[in-house]
Amino acid sequence: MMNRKESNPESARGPRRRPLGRRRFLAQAGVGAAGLALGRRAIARPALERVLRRDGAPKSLVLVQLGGGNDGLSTIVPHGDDVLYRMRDTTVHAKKDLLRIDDYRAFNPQLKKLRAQFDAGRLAIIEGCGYPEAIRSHFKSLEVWHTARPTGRASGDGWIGRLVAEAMGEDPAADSVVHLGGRAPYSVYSSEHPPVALASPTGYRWFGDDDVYAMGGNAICEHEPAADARHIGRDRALQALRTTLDDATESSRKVRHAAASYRTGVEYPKSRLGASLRDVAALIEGGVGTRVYSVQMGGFDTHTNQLIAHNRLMATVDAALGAFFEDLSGRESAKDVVVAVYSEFGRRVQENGSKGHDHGKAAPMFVWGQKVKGGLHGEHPSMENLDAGDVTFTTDFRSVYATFIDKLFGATPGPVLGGDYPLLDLI
Amino acid sequence: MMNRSRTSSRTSATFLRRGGAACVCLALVLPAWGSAPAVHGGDDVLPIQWDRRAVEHVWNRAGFGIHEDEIDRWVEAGPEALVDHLLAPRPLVGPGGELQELLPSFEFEPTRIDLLDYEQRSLEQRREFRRIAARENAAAFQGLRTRWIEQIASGDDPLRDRMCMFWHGVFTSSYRTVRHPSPMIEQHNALRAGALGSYDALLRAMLRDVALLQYLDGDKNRKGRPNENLAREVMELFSLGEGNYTEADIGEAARALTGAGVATRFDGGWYRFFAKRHDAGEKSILGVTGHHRPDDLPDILLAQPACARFIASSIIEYLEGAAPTDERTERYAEVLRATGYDVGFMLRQLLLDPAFYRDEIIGARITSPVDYLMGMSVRLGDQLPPNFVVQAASELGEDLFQPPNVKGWESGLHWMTTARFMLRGNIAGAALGLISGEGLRSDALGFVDEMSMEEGMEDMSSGDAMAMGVEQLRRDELAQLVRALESAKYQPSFSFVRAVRGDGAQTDAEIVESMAASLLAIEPPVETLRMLEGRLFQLRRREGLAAKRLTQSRSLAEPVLRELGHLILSLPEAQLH
Repeated sequence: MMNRKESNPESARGPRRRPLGRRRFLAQAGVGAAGLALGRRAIARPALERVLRRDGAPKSLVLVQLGGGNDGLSTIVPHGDDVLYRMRDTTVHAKKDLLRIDDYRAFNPQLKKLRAQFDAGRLAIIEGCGYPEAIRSHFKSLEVWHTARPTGRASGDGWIGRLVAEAMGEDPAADSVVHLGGRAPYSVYSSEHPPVALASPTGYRWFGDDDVYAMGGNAICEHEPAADARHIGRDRALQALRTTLDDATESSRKVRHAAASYRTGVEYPKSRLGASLRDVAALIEGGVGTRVYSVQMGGFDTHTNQLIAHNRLMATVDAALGAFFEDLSGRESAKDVVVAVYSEFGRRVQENGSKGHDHGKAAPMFVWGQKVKGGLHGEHPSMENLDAGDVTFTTDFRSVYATFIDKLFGATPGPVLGGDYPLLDLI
Repeated sequence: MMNRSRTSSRTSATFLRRGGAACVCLALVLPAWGSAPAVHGGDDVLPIQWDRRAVEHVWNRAGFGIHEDEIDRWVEAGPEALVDHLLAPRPLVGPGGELQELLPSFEFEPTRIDLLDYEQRSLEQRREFRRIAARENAAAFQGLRTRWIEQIASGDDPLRDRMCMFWHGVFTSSYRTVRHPSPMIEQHNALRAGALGSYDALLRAMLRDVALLQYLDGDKNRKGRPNENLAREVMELFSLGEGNYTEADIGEAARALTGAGVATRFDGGWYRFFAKRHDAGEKSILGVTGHHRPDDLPDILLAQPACARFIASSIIEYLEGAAPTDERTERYAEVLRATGYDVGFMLRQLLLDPAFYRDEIIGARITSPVDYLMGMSVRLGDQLPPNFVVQAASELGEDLFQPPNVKGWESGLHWMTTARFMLRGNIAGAALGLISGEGLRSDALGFVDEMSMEEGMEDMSSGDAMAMGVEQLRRDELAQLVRALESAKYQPSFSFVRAVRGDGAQTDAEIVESMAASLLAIEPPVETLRMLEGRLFQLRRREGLAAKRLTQSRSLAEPVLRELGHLILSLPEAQLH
C-alpha cells in the first residue's frame, strides 16, 4: 500500500510512478481549474477503490483508557460482600438500583448497555486486574500500563510501539496505529514507528489544494530530477520526506473519506469519547487497515463526592461504548475487532473524608468483541485481605495484553512485554 | 583514593587554571589551532568553501536560521568572524552602564505560606490556597516556556540557545514528574548558563540538580534500598554511552549516589546530602575503588576515555545531523580532554572544520518542530507569538520541558509522522494569515458536503453534515492553534511583493527563485523550482494576472504569492536545514 519499499536504495531519485514530464505538467497546469479537477479524480480513484474494498478486514485492537483511576468497586459492584457496605457509606448505590449479575456482583446502575452486551455474551469482565508492587501515582502507574514494565518509560517504547516492531514487519503502513482525539498515550509511543495521532479525521489533511500538495511528494521527480553531487545529503533526506508526504496524502484521503462517508443507524452520544469511537468505527468500516486504535477519556480521579461524579462518568462511558458496541456488533468489518477498556488503578475500599476514594490498586478490565468469550474471567479479589486498604490484583493485566498479542497479532508476547504471562481463554 | 572531605563544586578559578594548562597541551598536539585550525587534519583537507550556502548552514545549525538579507554580510566577514560572533560573551554592561548578569535568568517567586498558619486554616481555605498555588505554578511553567522561545526569537545568543536545546534533550527532566516549576526553572538556568562552558561543570551541577534528582528517583536512592535509575542514566545517557560500563558499575555507582537527595517544601526543594541515607562502604566503580560519595562519581566518569568520546560524538551528531566517524570522534574527544571538557572550544573547532561543511551534511538535517517554527519566523522576519510557538511545537511532538521519556526526543525522521507533516504546513498557512478560524469552519463543512455529493449520500441532510463538520472542528488541533494566533491578535506584516520586487524578479521563474531563497533554509532542487513555477502560473491564470502585473499591483499579487509561500513552507524542502 505504501511505497517505501519501491523508493528504496537503487533509485536515488525515488520512484517514478506517474510519468509526467515538465512540459506536460505545465501544459496541464495551463488547462486551469478543469485540468485540476481532472487530476483530482485521477488521483482519488484508486484510493477510493481501496476504501470500498471490504474483504480481508484485519484483526485489530481498540484500546480505551479511562484516565484518573476508575473505581472498579463501583463499576462492577461486589454487592454480596458486607465489607463493601461497612467501609463505604455515601459512595455506594442502593442494592435495588444495581444491575445484578449474580449473588456477588452487579453492574453499576448506569451501565445498562454494557450489561446488555454482557448478556449477549460479547463482553468479558476480567476481575482484579493489576500488577505486583502497585504504584499509586497516576503518572507512574500509567507508565506501567503503557509499557507493561515496572520501570515505565525508562524501559523504552510503549507496548504497542514494541508490538508494531515485533509483529508488523520492517515497514508498517503509516497508519498502522491511530490515536483519535488529542494527545496519544505513551502505550503507542515508538522510537521507530511513531503512531498517527489525530484530533479529528477532517483535520487530518493539508489545508490547501490537495493535488498541488501531492506534487511535493515523489511525483516531483518526474520533472527534472537533479543530479548534483553538491547536494547528495539533501537529496537523500528529501527522498525520505517525499515518501512520507506520499504516505500522508494517501492516508489522509483514506481516513477522511472513511470518516465522512460513514453511515450508521446507531446514534452516538455527543461526548468526545463518543465522537472518537464513532471515528474508530468509521475507520474500521472504511477498511483503512489500522491494526491498533487508541482513544481515551479522563476525569476518573474521584477524590471528592464520588457518587454523583462517578455516576455521570459511568453514564458517559455506557452511552459511548454502548453505541460503539451496538454499531460494531452487526458489522462484518468488525468481526475480528477487540475492544479493551482499562484504567491505571482502582480506588481505595474505604471511603475518605470527602465522600470520595483515594488511589487504589486492582480493578476489572472490560474486553469486548464479536468473538470474545463473554462473561466473568479471573477471580474477584478478596475484600477481606486488603493490601494497605486496597484490593490486590488476581490477574496480571499483562496476561490480557499477552492474549491480544498472541490471538490478534500472531506474535510472541514475551519480547513485547519483557516477560512471559499466562494467556487467558478470552478470544 | 578519592578525597572525601573535598567539596564538589569547583570554583571557576579551578577551571580557568585547568583550561589554561589544557591550552598548552593542546598547542603541543595541535601546533596551529589559532587561525588555521589544524585539528581538522593534514594537507589533504580542502578549505571551507565559504559562500552563502555555508553561512546559512552555520546559522541553521548553530542558531535557528538567518534572514536572507543578512547572509552576504557574513560571507564577507568570513568564517572566523562568524564563529567569534557566535561564541563571544554577550555584553555585561547594560544600556544605562549598569552591570548586567551574563544571562537573563528566569525567576519565579511562588506565594509563600506560613506552615503554622496553614495548619490553622479550614479545609475550604486550604483548598483555596492549593487552587491559587496550582494556578501560579501553571502560569510560571508556561512563562518559562514562552520566555525561552522569546529568548531564541530575540537572536541575542543563538549558539547558547542552540546548545541549551541540546543539553535540554540530554540532561532531560519532565515537568510531568517534577510537577513544580521552580526546579525546572533552575535546571533550565543552569543548562543555559553552562551551555557553552565546561561539560565537567555541567555534569557536576546536574548531579546536584533538584529536577533531575526528582525525575530520576535520585531522592529515593538510599542505603540498603538502592534505586539504580539515576546511576544508570548518568552512565548510559549523560556521560559514557551504552557498552562502556557493566551492570556491576551501575550498582556500585547507585551506592555512591545514595544520600544525594532533595529537601522539599510546598514551594520547591533544594539539593541536600543526607549523610544518614548514604552508604559509606567501599565501592568499585569502573575499576576505581574507594569510599565514593555522590560528588566523587563525576571524577570517575570524566576520567573515562569513553566519556569525552560520547560527549564529542553526541554534540557532533546533534549539529551535523549524522553520527561522526570514529576517527573524527576521537579527534574531538581529544580536544575535550585536553581542555577540561571545554564545549565552547570544541564548538569553535567544529564550526571551522571543513568536514562540518561537507555535502552529505548541508541541507540534510530534518528540523525539529522548534527549528521549523523559529526558522520560519526568522526568515519571514515576523515574530510569531511565543505562546503559539510553544503550543505548536508541542502539537508537533516537541513539548518543551515534557520529553516523552528519559532519552529526550527522538530526532530526524521521527518528527515527521504523516499527521505532523501536514500539520507543519497548516501551521505555516496560519502564520501566513491564510488559515483562519472562519476558513477552517467553512472548509470542514465543505468537505463533508463534497463527500456526500461524490458518494451520492442523499441520505445525509445538510443539517447533519453541518453538525458533523462543527463537531469535528471542535476537536481539531489546528483550530485551537488558530484560536491562539487570533487571540494574540497576530497579523502577518511581511510583504512578499516587496521582497520579490527588491530582488528585481519579473518572470515566474525569477519570482519562484526569489521566494524559495527567502523561505527555505536550503537550496531547493531544480525540480522543485519547476513545480513551483507551474503552480505560480496556475495561480496567476486563476486570478487573471499577467506575469508583469504580479509585481506591480501589491493588493492583487500579495494573496497569490502568499498562497505560493504556503506551498513552499509545506514542502519536504521546508522541513530541512
